[in-house]
Amino acid sequence: MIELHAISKTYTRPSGDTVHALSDLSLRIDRGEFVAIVGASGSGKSTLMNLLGLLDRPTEGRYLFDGRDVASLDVANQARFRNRYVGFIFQVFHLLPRTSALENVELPLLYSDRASTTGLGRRALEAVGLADRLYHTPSELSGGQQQRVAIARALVNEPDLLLADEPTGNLDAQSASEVMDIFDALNRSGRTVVLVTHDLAVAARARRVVRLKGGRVVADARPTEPKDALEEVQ
Amino acid sequence: MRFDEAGRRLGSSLRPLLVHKVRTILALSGVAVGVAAVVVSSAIGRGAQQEMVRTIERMGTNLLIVKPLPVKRLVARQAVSGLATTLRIEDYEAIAGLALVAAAAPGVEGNARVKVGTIAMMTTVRGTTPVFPSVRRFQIAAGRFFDMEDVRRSRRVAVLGARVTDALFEGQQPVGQEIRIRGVPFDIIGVLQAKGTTTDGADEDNQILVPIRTALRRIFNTTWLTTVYVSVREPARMNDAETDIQDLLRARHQRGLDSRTDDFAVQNTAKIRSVQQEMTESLSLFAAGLAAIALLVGGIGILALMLLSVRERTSEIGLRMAVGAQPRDILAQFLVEASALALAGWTSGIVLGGAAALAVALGTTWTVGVPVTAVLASFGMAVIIGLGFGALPARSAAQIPPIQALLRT
Repeated sequence: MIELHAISKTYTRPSGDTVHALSDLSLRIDRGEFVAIVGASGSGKSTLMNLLGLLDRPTEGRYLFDGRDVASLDVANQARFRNRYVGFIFQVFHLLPRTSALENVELPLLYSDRASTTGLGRRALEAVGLADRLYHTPSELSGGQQQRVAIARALVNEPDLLLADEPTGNLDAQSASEVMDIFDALNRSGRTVVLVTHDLAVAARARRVVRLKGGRVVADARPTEPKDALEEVQ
Repeated sequence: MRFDEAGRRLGSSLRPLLVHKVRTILALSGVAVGVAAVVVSSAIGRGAQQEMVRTIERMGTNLLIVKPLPVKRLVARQAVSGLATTLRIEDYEAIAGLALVAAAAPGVEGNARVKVGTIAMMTTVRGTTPVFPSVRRFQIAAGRFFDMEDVRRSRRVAVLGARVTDALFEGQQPVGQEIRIRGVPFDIIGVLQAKGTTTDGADEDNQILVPIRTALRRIFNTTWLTTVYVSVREPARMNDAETDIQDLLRARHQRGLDSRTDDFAVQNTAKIRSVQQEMTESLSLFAAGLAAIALLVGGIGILALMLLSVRERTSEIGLRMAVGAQPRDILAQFLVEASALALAGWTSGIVLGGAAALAVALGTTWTVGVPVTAVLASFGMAVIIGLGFGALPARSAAQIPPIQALLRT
């Protein structure tokens, strides 16, 4: 589904220094995979995630999504692509304050060209076990519940790809485990999940672990048993 | 875009306005005050203009008034006032004979104590001729006006102004009754319809009209006129008629051609009115300009709120972009927000201004009329202000790269 060919990303700092966030990175992710991208901070894992979700463009290289070169799309079509094919989950949830869970979840539908959107938000919240919290605002929900609302928002447009950037970074162990259970279930039902984390316990729940260092892939393990994958990359 | 979707987007755009109520009210109150100022100033301006038109209709557009000028006297007698005594009945007859003059009415007037039964009052008594009502545009409410026969015979007949009638008769029918003017009994033969106060404050309903000869001989005991009312044939030739009258009177009074030696003055109502009109118009324009500035200041309030809103919600903008909002969606969202602010401001401004105009109308004697053009123009300005002052923040919001927007919290 995803093919990255010789991707590079360089930033220019305001001071004038250039930073090579990714250099000559190639990666292939197939439909239905559950990939954890790990690495120290500054290893380029967040940059990779942003490129996968078309929040950012690579400086060099090609990004094919289902065989289509999507990195060269114009701004409007990139937005359309994100809306249709990608669901984002962020470490800081990014829920709109003073807005009900249901309305937060329905936000992507505002920008969708679907014929009918009725009931989708409700169904997505049911899928993450928050059917009884439809009209609660973020401040009335626990961190774990807020992240589940965010997952429901990522799911509402039924995207092919879920991208999660440190989804458990702001959660306690119990909530983190619940969130990972949801990712697990989503992946089992066929959805492609890519998550960035530095938490090895979280990475251990994935079926494939990619380790980045200095903007390059330094290890990529895809064994049958998830736990072994972690050991392999270590 | 379907309706429900449009509605949801609209709701999504307007939510922040409802969330930050105080801020929203502050921002829109600027526009509201501006719009209210536009409405009130134009309402008063329009009222003044209507008043002007009414005055013109009442006075006629073709009226010249000839009056004697005050003169310095070495020997002042009590019986004569400080006015030149050179304006005579013969002058009036000569003026009436001019080609450009349609009709002329002489006038001799003074204050007099009048009495009906036991009720007495001071009023203006004016001696004139039967053309007076047509020259000064008076209508007869009851009875009749005096005719030339009454004038020739110096009959003691009187026609009462509306206010005098109200004061002396309190709803009773005055025609046929007797009134004493400076002690001399007169028969009341008619009553004038009310005209109201003129813009210069003179009350034309507070007067009693009597035949000119009667007034000269029996009331004032003089031989000179205090006024000649001249109705000009063509309103377009008012200035020509004015010159003709000046030439005629200078020749008759033999005082030379220099206006400085004139013993009379010609009031050209058209000139007075055009000056008044100019004043009203420039005043309205001034008020409208101030109001427009107020509205502009309101717009700056919106600009400030929108800039704040964009800055504060940068991460929200980033999120919306991440879930699929295109730059034009973001642009539309903030434009809708700014326009909604401006329109809400406009609506409250119209209500506020309307209420203020009503208060002015009820609290003062001013005529007030809210012109539709002011309502429409202020609407247009509010929309332009909303879009204009909203465009800058909206554009800057739409141009933030999503990844930067997301990272900013």
